[in-house]
Amino acid sequence: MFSMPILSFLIFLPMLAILVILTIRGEQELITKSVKYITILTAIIHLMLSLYVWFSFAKGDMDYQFVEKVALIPSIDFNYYLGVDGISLLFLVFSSFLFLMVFLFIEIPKNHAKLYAVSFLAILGFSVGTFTSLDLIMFYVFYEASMIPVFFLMGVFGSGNKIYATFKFMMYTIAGSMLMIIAIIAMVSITKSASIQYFDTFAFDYKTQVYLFSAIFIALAIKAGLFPFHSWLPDAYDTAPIALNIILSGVLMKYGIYGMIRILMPMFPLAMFDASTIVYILSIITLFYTGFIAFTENNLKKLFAYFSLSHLALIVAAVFSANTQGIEGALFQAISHSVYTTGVFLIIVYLKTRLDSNNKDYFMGIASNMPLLSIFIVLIGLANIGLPFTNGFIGEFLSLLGIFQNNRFFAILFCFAILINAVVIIRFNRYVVFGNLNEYTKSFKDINLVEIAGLSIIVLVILVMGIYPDMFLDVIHASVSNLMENFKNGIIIKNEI
Amino acid sequence: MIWYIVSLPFLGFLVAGIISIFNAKTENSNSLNFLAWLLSTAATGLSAAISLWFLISMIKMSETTIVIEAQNWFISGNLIVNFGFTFDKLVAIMVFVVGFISFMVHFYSYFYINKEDNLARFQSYLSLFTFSMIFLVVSNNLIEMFIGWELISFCSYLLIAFWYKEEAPKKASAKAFLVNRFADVGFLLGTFSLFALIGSMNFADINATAISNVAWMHFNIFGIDINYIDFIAVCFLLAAFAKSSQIILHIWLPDAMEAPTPVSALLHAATMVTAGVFLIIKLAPIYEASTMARNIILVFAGITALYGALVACMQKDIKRIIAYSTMSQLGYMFLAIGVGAFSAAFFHLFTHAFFKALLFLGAGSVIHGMGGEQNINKMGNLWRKMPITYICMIIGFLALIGVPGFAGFYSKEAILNFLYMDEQSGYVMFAYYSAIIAVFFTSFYSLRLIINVFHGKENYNKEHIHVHESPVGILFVLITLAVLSILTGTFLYDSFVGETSAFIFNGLFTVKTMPEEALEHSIKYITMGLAFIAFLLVYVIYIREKGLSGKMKKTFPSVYNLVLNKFYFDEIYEYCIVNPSLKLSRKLGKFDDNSYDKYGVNALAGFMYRVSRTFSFLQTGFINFYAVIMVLGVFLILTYCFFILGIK
Repeated sequence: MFSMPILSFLIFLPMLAILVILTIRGEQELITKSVKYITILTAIIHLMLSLYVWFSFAKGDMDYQFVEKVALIPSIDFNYYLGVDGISLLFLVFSSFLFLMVFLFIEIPKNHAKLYAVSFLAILGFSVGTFTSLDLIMFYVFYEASMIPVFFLMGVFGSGNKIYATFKFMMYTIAGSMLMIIAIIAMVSITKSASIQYFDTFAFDYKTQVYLFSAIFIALAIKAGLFPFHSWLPDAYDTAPIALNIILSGVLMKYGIYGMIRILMPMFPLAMFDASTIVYILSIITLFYTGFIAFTENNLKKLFAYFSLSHLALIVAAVFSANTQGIEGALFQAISHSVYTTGVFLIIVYLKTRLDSNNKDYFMGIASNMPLLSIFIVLIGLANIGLPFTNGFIGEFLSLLGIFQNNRFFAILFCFAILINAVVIIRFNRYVVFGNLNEYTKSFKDINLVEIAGLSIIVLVILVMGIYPDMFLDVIHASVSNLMENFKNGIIIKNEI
Repeated sequence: MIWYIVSLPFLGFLVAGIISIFNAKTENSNSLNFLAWLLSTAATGLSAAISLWFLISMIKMSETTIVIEAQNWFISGNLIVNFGFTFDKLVAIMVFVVGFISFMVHFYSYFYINKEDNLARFQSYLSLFTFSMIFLVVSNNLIEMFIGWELISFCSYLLIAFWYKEEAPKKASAKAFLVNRFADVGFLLGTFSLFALIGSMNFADINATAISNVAWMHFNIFGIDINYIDFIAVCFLLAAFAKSSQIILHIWLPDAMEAPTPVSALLHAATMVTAGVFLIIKLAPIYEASTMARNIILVFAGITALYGALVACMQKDIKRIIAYSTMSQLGYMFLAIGVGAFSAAFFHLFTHAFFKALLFLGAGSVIHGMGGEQNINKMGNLWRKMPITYICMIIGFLALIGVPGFAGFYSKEAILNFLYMDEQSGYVMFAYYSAIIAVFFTSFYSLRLIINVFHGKENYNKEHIHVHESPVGILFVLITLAVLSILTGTFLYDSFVGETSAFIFNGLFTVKTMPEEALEHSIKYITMGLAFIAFLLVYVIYIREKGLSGKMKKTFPSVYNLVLNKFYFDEIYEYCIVNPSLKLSRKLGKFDDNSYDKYGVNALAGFMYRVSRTFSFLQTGFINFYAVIMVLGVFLILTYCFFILGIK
């Protein structure tokens, strides 16, 4: 396979599946069934191909690999330009994995099965595009396009106050997009190039950096749900179907993290360096604020929405610590968070199939008649609070170590702030796992084999990542050191000025 | 060999854990429970046996340290973490103690836990607990130790919540986990600063020379200079104080009594509370360099020793009395550390492990015999019914008080002597006197417990409760521990704190040895005098003049209530931390649901809506008009960016 355009194939494979799905006609049941098989098959092939990329990726090499480049508009150096380094590879493989989990273990709704599957497949394709684009304009296009299916999914398959939530989500997204497109237009017209690699060597002057940085940072912070820009997320999580919750927290929120590392760090190092204190303050506010809300929140989906926010805040802070441990910790924690949040939402799905409610109070004391599910809840909870041998531990440890090396004071605050996570999970366990049985939970049956399989895969990945972290850190070492090199050069230029 | 010591308890956990899952499905079959018990006990016992063999061979060999290192566990930048185990003699002794006590507890549980409970689950937790502690002890670097450190909190969480159908264990388990988790922050920060300071997290690199080279280094927070070594020492102290339940962070320990009694024995004797002391001993070079940290230790440990012993005098629950006693004894260990007598601290940890396990398992035997009763005022005159338990408990308490000839005497006297011999700064004086006074209270509560439980009138309902001596399995464990509670002191005094102690501890820290004549010193007479007065007092209050305690209650109600309510620590925490955070959480939740959007985003949307209404005359309905406006808009923004902001 000397020059197979594998990344393009990864983007267009879901599109191909969409075409196939759109041609299906027949009974509703038949449609649902065939849609299910097609999505699963697509996701399996997709994951296998991304794993192929993973295993044939040259780890020590810091250049982009699997590069595909077709010139589109030569005058502004706008190309169809794809490639992966360690950082994008990590996100690529885990997105692929999450989509497979979603297709395998979450039921497709009977009505509008086609729309549902098409939307998810579209997000899969676009997210691969976002993570592998080496061209700013292409990056933007994919980044924005992934949001369109989300509107459909929320608007059609949502529950509760879905119009309000969808509208709010849209407003936030559009606000972010406006800022980002303006910044990108400005960048392209200044440098006459849209290639992301080009910016490694190009240095904006300080003032430009600050303006462009602020615009793009706000756009990305909306995605990552940093404090003043977070309020779309709890509502979105509450109304969205659970499969979308997984994708939102596992893939779409990670756009924010990925963008910060891919765009902000190499392109605006000076602004990034100076903004770190502000971002630390925002993150710590987010952590405390959302953590405290999650503490007594009764709505299960909202609880884990706030919980995701508090996790993402630590990751953002770790990115801004701008040293090797911080960045690697942020990356590792980003994918860990994707995995264990998937576990959490799978558990919520399984609880909801037994009793259709979001209220935590209805699910009490399941330890007595659902021992297996309880074990999984406790284990996945452990990953959430970063207990050793789970992936959360390595991510949190490295993130905090990174912040500590950058700023002692904030590191101390962050170390204490993440305690709130433990409080949330322990309280959750106390009521949901060890609580007193009520009239609803009394009749619950323990999870069946398929459900066990779903949760086992998640727990297995959590443990593998926690026990052999090097397998995943190994991939990103070269890229991160390259990134740090560029970042440091960017800072040195300031001193020369 | 070392791998077996660590992995056997884990294997026990896996096997018992898998059996327990089947057990939950099949309504607790007896044979499955027995199988799980047998396998997990055998695994732990084998691990303990191997560690004893290993210890002996280590003493025979001249090598001081054995390091087994697997390849890099993970790397990130200049952080290189190796996965491996370190054995020196200190570690080998500790591993043996943990393994042995744990084996005893594993064995004991079969006779103690009710048959309707899921014994397999219980055994699997115990094995995991043991594994975590052994992992902590043999760890190579601070990250590995942190893993063990967190895992033991987690295991204690599971074990305390073993009877999760009742309310109190749930609350106690959450409390234990969260207090320890809070203190883990200290561990993390200490590790980070140590890494920032010497660029390594390995114990091998934290030796006296490495520390003395960097003792002058500072970092700066808001203009305040903070010495690295002091900061590190205080951080680790925070962690150790919570695990070893020193005052202010002690609140979880008495509540942890909600766990089944064997857990208490394991938790208090070998696994959890000793971890804090062990950590500090492991990091001895840092504490040798930091006088500030040592003074903090002396103050806190002094108060703890006194507080624990005082509060124990007023408790009614047999297990809580012994729990507060543990707290007080841990205070003694820290006092020794405070004057740099690490070997004495470790010696007390060692002897304490045996007699505290004995006391708890003895208390378990009493509770078992009484059919679950834990209130000492509802017992009495049990010595005829349970003579062997009685004798074993007496031995345990004599060791605890420190009567010459019993194990506790040698270690406690060593600590008091080191305190006495140290330079007489105010901190040391304070520590010394609190330690001496604590001896008095220790004797008081010990004798009070003995008299109320085993002597005097029978205060229980004889019709309902048929007191009986415990089964042979329990008695076997008690007798073994009782023998060890006598022997460990006399035989091992020399090798721990005497002339030959350098053999064990050389290379780990500056070994302070006790002069030969120290035991002849007058401190022995002071403590024994105090113990005797306490005995007379107990005799008067609880046997001769029964009304006296009521009178004291009336004359000093405030003091009485203060001590009875453990100085209101729980209430203060409830009032200052728990309730406000619950309130804050609910308020923030409401704020985010209603006000945040109302005044934030939605207000903005409303504003835009009003603006758009004002300019609605612009809405002509012609698409090309919109297009013109849009192009103009983008053009204006870009112009603004390029010319006004000067982006080039």
